[in-house]
This record gives sequence, C-alpha cells and structure tokens, in this order.
Amino acid sequence: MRGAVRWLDARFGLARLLHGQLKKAFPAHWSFLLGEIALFSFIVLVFTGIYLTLFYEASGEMIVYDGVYEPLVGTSMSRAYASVIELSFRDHLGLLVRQTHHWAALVFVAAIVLHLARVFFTGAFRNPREINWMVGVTMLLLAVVNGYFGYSLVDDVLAGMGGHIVNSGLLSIPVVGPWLASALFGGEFPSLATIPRFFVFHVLIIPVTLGVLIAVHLAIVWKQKHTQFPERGVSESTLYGPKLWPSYAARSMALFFFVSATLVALGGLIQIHAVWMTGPFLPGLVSSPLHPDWYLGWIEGANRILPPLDFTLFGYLVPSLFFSSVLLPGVTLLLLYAWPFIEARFTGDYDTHHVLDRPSERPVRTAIGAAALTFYTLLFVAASADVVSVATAIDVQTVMQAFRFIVVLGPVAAGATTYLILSGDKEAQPT
Amino acid sequence: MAALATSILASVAFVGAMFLGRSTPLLGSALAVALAAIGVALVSWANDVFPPSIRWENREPLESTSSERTAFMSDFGAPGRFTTRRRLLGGLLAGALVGVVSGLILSLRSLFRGGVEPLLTTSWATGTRLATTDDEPIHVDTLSEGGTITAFPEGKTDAFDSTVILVRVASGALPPDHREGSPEGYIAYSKLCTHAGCPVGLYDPDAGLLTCPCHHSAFQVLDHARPTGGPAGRPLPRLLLSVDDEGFLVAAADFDRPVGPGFWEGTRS
Repeated sequence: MRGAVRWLDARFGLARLLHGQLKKAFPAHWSFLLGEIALFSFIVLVFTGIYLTLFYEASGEMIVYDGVYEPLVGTSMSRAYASVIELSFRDHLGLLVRQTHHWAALVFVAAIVLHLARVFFTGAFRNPREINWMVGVTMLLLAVVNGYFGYSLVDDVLAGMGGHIVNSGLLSIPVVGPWLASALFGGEFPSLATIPRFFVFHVLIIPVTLGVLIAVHLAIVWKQKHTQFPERGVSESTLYGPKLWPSYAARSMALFFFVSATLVALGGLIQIHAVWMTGPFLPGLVSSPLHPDWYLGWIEGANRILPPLDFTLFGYLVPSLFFSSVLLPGVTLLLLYAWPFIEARFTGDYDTHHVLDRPSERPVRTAIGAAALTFYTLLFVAASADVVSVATAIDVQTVMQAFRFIVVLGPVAAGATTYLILSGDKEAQPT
Repeated sequence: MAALATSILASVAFVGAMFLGRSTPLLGSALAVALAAIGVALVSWANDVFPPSIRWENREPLESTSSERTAFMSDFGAPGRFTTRRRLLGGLLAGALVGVVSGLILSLRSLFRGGVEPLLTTSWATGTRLATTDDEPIHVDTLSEGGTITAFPEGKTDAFDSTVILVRVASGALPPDHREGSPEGYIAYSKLCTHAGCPVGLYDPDAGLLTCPCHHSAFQVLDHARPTGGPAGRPLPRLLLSVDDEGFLVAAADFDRPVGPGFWEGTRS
C-alpha cells in the first residue's frame, strides 16, 4: 500500500492535508449519535430510492392492470400505482427495497426530531451555532415534505386522501389559496400533472437540496468543533474525545452498518404501506381508519379537533382548516427558526457557548421544551381519535371534545410540573 | 472476536445474495445480519486493536484577531476611487439582480393552471342521469330504504369533483323543507367533505348521519347536510333530484354552491 499512498500524496499532498484533520478530537456521548443516525438513514434512502426510481413510472394516466398481481388484474388504476404493484410483486427484492425505503423515511424524521430535542435541551443552538440550528430546521422541513411527496407517489387511496387534505389546506389560504393549490398540483386536484410534478421534487430538487444542506451542516460542526458536556475539566476553551482516525471513524462506520441493518430488517420483516390492500386512488373511494405517516400526525390531530371556526371577511371565506393545517405549522416553524434569538433576548445571554447545559440545570427552557413536546404529542394522539374511540367504546365526537381540553391543559401541566421539579432541587440558580 | 464477526458476515451475506425467489422477510433478515456483522467487526476492531486514543484539544476563539481583520480590510476594503458613486452603483446592481431573478421566478407562472374557475363548476347539469361507478344509470328501484350508493354524472365516472353520495330514506321521514328535490325519499349530496375534501363515505341510517373518516365531520342527512359534529363548518352542497320518463334519477340542476373544501371566493358562486 505504501506505493499507492505515495502516488496519491504526490498529487494531493495527502500527508500534509490529512495529518491535522485525522487526529481531530470528537466529543463522545451517546446522544451525539442521533444526528449521525439521521445522516445514515438519508444514505439508505438515497440508495433504496435510486433502485425505486429505476422501476417506478411517474404517470397519473389511467390504465387497466394486467400484471403479476392477480387480485388486481382488470382494475382501473394509474400507471404509477401499477408500477408500484409490479415492483412489489415481480420479485421479492422490490418489496424489500420499497419497505426499507419507507421505514428509512420514518426513522430519518424521527432521528432528526430526537437530535433537535437533544440540541434544544442542551442549549447547543446558542452562539456560535444559530445558523447551523436554522440549517437543521430547514432540513427537518424538507425531510417531512419529501416524506409526504414520497408516499403520495404510490397513488393509492391513502395517498389520495393526503392529496385531498393538502389541497384543501392550500385552498384555505386567504387570497392566494386556489393559485397555490393549482401550482402545486398542476391544476384542479386531482390532475394528471400532479404525479410527475411531485416526482421531480421528491427525486431531484429536495434530495439535492438536502445533500447540500447536510454538507453545510457538517462543515460548520467541523469548523466550530462539536459541543461537550461539562465533565473532566472540559471548559469553553478545551475539549477532549477520541481521535477521528481510527477510533471515531470506526465507530461511525459501525453505526452506519447497524442503522442500515436495522432499516433493512424493518423493511423485510414489518409490512408498511401495503398499497394492494388500500387499492388505487379512484373517485369516491375512501377507507377508514385513515392516518398519514407519523410525522404529520400532529397536523392531522389539529385538523380533527379544531372546532369549526370558519368565518367570512367582507364576504370572503376563511375556512377553519386554515388555522389547523397552515397557521399552526407555520407558527411552529417560525418559533423553531427563531428560538436561539428568542432565548438570547429573554436571558440576555449573547455569549459564545461551547459547553452544553444539563437540562436539569435550565428549568425554564426544559419546562418550555416539555410543554411543547407534550402539546405536539397530544395532537399526534388526537389524530387517532377513531382508534381511541373504538378502544374505549366512547363515541368519537366525545373523544374529540375531550382532546380539545387535554391538548391545552396537558402541556400547561407538563411545563409547570417540569419547572417545579427542576427549580426545586437545584443548588445554584443560573444567571 | 473480529474474526468471528467477519465469518458470520461472510456466510450470511451469501444467504442474503440468494435472490432466488426467496421471500422478502428472509432476504431482509439475511441482508440485515450481514450488515450488522460488519458493524460488530468494526466495533471490536476499534476496541481491541487500537488503544483508546483520547486527545485533548484547545478551542481557538472563532473570531478573527483585530490584526487579521485589519489585514483583510486593507486587501479587500472598498477602493477610494468609487466612493462617491458606490451607493448608486450598488443600488443599480442590486436592482438588476432583483430584476433578473424576479423574471425567472415569474416565468414559473406556467406552473399555475386553473386558479378559481374550475372550483366553481362540476360536470352536473339539469337532466344528467345519476350513474354508479360502473356507469349504470340509477333507477328509482335501485336502493331500498336505508340504502346508500356513490353516484356520478352518467358518462363521467372519473370526475372527482362530481362525486355524489346518494341515500334513500323513508318518504314519510322527509321533513317538509326536504320534500322538493327528494323523489321517493332519495337525497343526494356532494360526497366531497366541506372540511378537507375527503369522500364522506360513512353512512349511519339510524342516526341519519353521513360521517367523514378523515377528521370525523358529521352531517345531518335530513337537515340539508348541516354539520353537527367534527371540524366541518359548512353543509354538504345538495344535488336536487327528479325522475325522468323511464324512472331513472336525474339531476334537477348543478349544485347551488362550490363543492368540496372552502376557499377565499367560495361564498360567491
């Protein structure tokens, strides 16, 4: 190997270039791996996605099915749906790849959310990392949107209902609603232009943007160095950890293999989005119960429990769907982006921080975080109001009414309890 | 240990490579074990082969020193010659860039097709026969009391916005203000929920309720589909019916207001 490495070194100056970088120290804590899990899920998404792109037909044109899956032969469906059926049943590898892809998407968003929570509760978003926080929030948004486009592409009844709801959400926007809706869907929903348009976003525009943002995100962490918990003499000016090579790199690569192994196991063993059961998206068809992928559950929960608050403004209609499906996510996103600046304003602390907070030492922030998590989790549960209704034998309207109270009282209780517990047993108040 | 892990990997990778029509769970498990075994090998390699290589590092302050900043400004600061017209030039350049970018963004207007007009009409007209999803015209004898069926304009069973939910109630159960347009107890409403557009597919004949499975909006069939529960704020538009000479159900007119979810101009039809 000496010869080959010398050959490369003569062309790139590798020894000089890499020496400093390969001995870089990386603070190690299990919770710092959550971002890596997201990254590795993204890599699995790209590889499985490339396979699917080779076999998927991005066309909404209606045909009569005549392929390998007997129970659907003779049924009217779109070319897109037919191609998903074909790749799922023509050989067993296709179904493994599609299910792994869908599971990877769920895990991708989950890992991002957990990583965001870790960064939030430890105050890692503070100066100098505000921009990286905003890059991260952008990636969360893109991951969620791309997940929605992804499961819409299969064009089954579940995808169709998601389309109805997003279309209605856009329509509900005052003044520009119908224009935005027809821009996204390529005309009045559902339109033949919808699937090809979603496909371009799902396969090209968003993944490339995510790739660029991931590179920026990692470059910033590399340059600013990772934060660290206060332990063993760590300070604002010193950190310690395993060196990049070989320890840290070996562990990261091992994590990649464990993550991809888990995703492939999920894809092989646990059925997900069995499109042949819901059937193709056709007029008038609907199924029950209906739920989106988990990361959209909070919006669906809000859509269900928000009472009809429709009102007219000078003769123009503002439907209540606007509040639950546009305003709520919009305000959530805005608060997420602005949080580093909001907190700095309120604490008066604009200093650089490389040392992390332990959540127990920051009662206010931790309480706010607990309240927020409770709020969104309760909304998520509300999206299964019909399942709760069946399980408890209480009629669904009463269940939804109960959730209207729980969703307001729960977060207040969670926040207050967290604050009282944490401010009670601290020795010193932070300034 | 590393050797053990790599040998598991080797043998299982072979099973994983057996795409000889083997089932998805088997393929998935095999590949998963192969991948995981590599991970185990890497971890034991890192733990056993290398000594713990912890290193302490200093964090240099990220901000440039004042001499670095001075050096930067002296190399790249604005040259004196253009000082007087700098603002004008800068503004014009910004204007030019905004102009080009706006032009490019506005060219995306070809993405917008339709806007409001398509939302205001459906494929229904006076005299259009109601048909099933298989395009069979619906006769007065088709449903019995308590029955329900999805209907479309005859010949247009692919028209999403024209989907109708047809129910038949006992003629005696019809309230006086419902008698017109409900021949033989047949009542027709747009099937698109006025909340978020999902088909309102759940019918409870005893309670006289049409419920939408998406967000549980409930509409009172015998009261012009007035919403009585859930998040819907507006009743389902009603399709008034009559019967033609051969006994088939026909529409007496198009819906009296836009179907589906609400939008800004939705109150004007």
